[in-house]
Amino acid sequence: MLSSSRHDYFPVPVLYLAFFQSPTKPHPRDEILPVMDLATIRTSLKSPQGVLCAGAAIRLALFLGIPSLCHALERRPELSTPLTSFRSLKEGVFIHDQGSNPYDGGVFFHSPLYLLFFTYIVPVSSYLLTLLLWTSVDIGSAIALVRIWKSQNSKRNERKVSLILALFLFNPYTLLSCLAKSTTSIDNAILLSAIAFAATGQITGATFLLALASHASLYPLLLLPPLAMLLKQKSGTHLASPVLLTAVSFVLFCAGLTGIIYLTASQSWIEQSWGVMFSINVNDLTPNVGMWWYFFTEMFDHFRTFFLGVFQLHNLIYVAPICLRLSDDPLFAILIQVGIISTWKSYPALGDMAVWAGLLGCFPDVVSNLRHPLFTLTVHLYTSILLPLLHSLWLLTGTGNANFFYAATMVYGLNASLAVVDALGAGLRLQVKKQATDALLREESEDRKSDGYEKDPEMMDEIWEQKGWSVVQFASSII
Amino acid sequence: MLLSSLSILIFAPIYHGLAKRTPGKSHDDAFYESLTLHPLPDGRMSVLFEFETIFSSSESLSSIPQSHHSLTPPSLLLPLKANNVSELTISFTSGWDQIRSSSSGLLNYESSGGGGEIRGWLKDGNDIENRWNAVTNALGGLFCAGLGSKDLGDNVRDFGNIYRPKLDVTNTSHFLLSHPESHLCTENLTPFLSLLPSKGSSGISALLSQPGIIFSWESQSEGIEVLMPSGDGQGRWKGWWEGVIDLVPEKGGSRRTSISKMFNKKIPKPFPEVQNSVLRLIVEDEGLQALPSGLAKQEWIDGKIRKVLEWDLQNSTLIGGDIEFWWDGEDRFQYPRTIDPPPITVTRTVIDRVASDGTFQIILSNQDNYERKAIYSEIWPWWVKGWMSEVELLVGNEQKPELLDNLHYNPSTPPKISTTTLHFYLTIPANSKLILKIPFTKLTLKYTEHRPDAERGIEISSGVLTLLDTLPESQLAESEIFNSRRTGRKRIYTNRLLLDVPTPDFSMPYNVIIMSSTVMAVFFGLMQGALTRKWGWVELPSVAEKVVKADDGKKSD
Repeated sequence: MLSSSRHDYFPVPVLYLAFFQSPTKPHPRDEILPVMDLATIRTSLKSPQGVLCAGAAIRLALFLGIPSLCHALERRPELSTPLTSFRSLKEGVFIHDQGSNPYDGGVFFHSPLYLLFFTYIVPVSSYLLTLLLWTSVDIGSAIALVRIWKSQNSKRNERKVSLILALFLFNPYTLLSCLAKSTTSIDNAILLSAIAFAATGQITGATFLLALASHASLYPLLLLPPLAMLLKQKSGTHLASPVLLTAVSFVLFCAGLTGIIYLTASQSWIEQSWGVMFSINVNDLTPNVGMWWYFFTEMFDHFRTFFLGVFQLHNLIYVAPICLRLSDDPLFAILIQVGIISTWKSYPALGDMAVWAGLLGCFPDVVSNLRHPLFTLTVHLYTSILLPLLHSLWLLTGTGNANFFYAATMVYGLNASLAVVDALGAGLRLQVKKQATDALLREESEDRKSDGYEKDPEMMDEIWEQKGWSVVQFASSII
Repeated sequence: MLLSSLSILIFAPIYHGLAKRTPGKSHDDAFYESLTLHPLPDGRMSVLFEFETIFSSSESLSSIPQSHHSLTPPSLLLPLKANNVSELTISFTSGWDQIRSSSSGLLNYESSGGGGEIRGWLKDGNDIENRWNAVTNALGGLFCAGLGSKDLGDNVRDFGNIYRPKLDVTNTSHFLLSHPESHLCTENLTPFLSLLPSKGSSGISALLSQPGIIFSWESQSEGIEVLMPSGDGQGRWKGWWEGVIDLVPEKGGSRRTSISKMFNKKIPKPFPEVQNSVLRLIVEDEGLQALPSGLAKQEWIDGKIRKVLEWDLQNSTLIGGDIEFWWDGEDRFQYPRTIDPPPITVTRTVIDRVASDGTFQIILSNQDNYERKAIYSEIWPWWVKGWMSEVELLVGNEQKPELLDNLHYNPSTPPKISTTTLHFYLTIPANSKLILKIPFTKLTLKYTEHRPDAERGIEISSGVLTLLDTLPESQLAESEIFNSRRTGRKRIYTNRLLLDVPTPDFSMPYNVIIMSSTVMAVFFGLMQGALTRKWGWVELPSVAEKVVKADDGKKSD
């Protein structure tokens, strides 16, 4: 069996690993201790545990080694929006500690869950505790990704697990969001854990975490339908109606959380936290990487409400078509929906792109069918240079104007949109390939197991190569 | 003695003055005026006109509601009465920004910080906000300046502690509306004069009614303060106009001056109804001479015993004459190398300035040998977002968080027009510089919320330092000749600040709407295509023989 060279779609983590493999001793082979053996280190770093340790180590090293960098990252608008920034969180906790309600003015937009958590459980003023929290949150997200991948693939493949982990943990977007202590990282961990629970058929865990994620950032609410489908697929037949059960438990958990918050805080948070994000007032127009802020800065007042409706509905309209079209693969539907949300939500940050990229890593077959991964990657590289540059021109030195930064966010948004479409196309192509190969194999030999290609996508590609087949999108509609 | 009672009138709190001067006939109105000259150490002179009218409530005279006005302007008092106003102060100040906190601060203690400001106490009751709006709009018309709020959110409600009521009336609420962008201009003089009984044609007001002279002064401040009578009591309204004149000629020389040189007029004939018309000269240094000489006396003014010369301008020997002032033996004024700083100074600057962020640095310096208790207050527009968790208090380079006794923070509610107010309850240690640093971020304004001259920037109201430990200055202690706590100057203002706001491109609305919508449409179109079109496969065995095999693909949906 060939090692999946086709699936080494992303050479960057290899570079990261190489960085960590650089020998500290001049000639390790001369060392007697096997621990110092370079080969051993290399092997252990390639193991999933090794990647996790390396991911945690680089975070802790940067947090403790260059605190000034982390402090500067906290203020970056690309990494944290007013709704997720650590600076706002500190401010809110400070005001709460003073005995005032942080939701009274336009100062604090975080969920009250975060306010309570960072007041009573992990004090926001403690640098050490918060850095440990953010590091462990990223590790948690990575573990959730592995669980999602394992739920789809029964065969053990340590190499792929390591790759998925490395892709997520060493993705600069993930790493920088973590260093900026953006609460996006926590939202992502909760969301990925919810998906992981759903992928293993645990309704309670999945719905509770999804309720938590929805409370924190509201948009994960849109993932409830595909999540319910996934739970239905995974929970088997021993439950009468998994979809209904999912919906009911989600509503109960949501109500429970709201009730707890209602008892501990007042209700003014709804307007401030969810209201700013979702309802008719996108109040805070602080620049971010999304498509909303400049649009609503420049919007004519009498059209504002209409376009707010359009922008919010735009997130909503994809839920039903995606669930219908991808009903046989709810996890893939979740991937596409996460991609849409991370691009088109009202206050996106680069951390939202990180969760999408991490999830995409769980679909190696989809990635190998992408039409323009290199284009997507290079444009991401391009925007990650442009965004800070043009931001500083406009908002730091005051020499440029808003159009500069807007242009960069538009390139970013367009690229992210095209990447989502590309992933959807790749998924649908893969679907056709699987169906066609299935039919072909059944035709050729009745006794052969029809699901052979599932365990070996290489073989499927070989068959297609031999036959000279390729997947196309026709002009005619399925409706 | 008439003159000593007048000094009380000017410098004592009003309830004190009212008690002393209750006229026998309770419904007589009385009018007092004074012109105070105060030479400053830097060769300039502060000039303060004050006009005060005592009036009584006329309602109790008969059962039919009516009001009589003899010396009082109905246009001023009727809106206040109709809206149940208890006290009201309006002031415009311009040109003082750099010198506000020094010893050349305003002679009139009620003048606000830079720009326009209207504040007052309203009796509680229905529609208190609407009544306040009615008052501000009515008086805005009177002063040829927009005094009204653009939005209800502009009103500041928590400055009652800073501007305490002077009347003993319970159940009142405080309102304050700050217009830091307002300036004093020629249009303000005529309405001001029209409020005065003498209308600028006689008495001291005749010296004031010369826009060409008054508006050549570098710094200006005008204001009115009305204390409405409650029940059968007496009310008072006072107007003032203050300016600073440079006495030193441009090419250098002596500071010799006179009334006619300053105002281009001889001493005018008095207003017939005036109770008291007096010229006062505060003598800071020996050597200042005046001819004809005035009546000399000692007075406790602003923390110090000072020599004051007074002239009764109703004196017929002075009318049509002139009073000259000069410094003995001064051929050429030498600017002093150092000027003694006042006991407390406040300056405010923005440091760590980038286009979208900055830090207010407020330096409070105390020259005295004792610590002072004070409240430092700020009013910000909604788009200035402070970071309270990052506020720093420093003495030298040392963090001193214990000097902040309390912090009242009322954040704004963006994007509604609203204000952020801050009150820092501070202890200013003796002989030290206390530095208060407040980091802030400028929120992004919608393009419609910018002013027409958006690139110019927007003014931020003056900060106010309210001293909590001042003592009345009328109490003369025999032993002391200097005590900076004994002053009526309870509030020290900082300069205004001009903050530039990051601007969007004002020509872009259509372009942004079109381009962003295009990106959205591209995404929607591609998604719609991918989700609704048929996917299948084609076979391309060789280039020559193209057999296209299309298959619908067994779609699960």
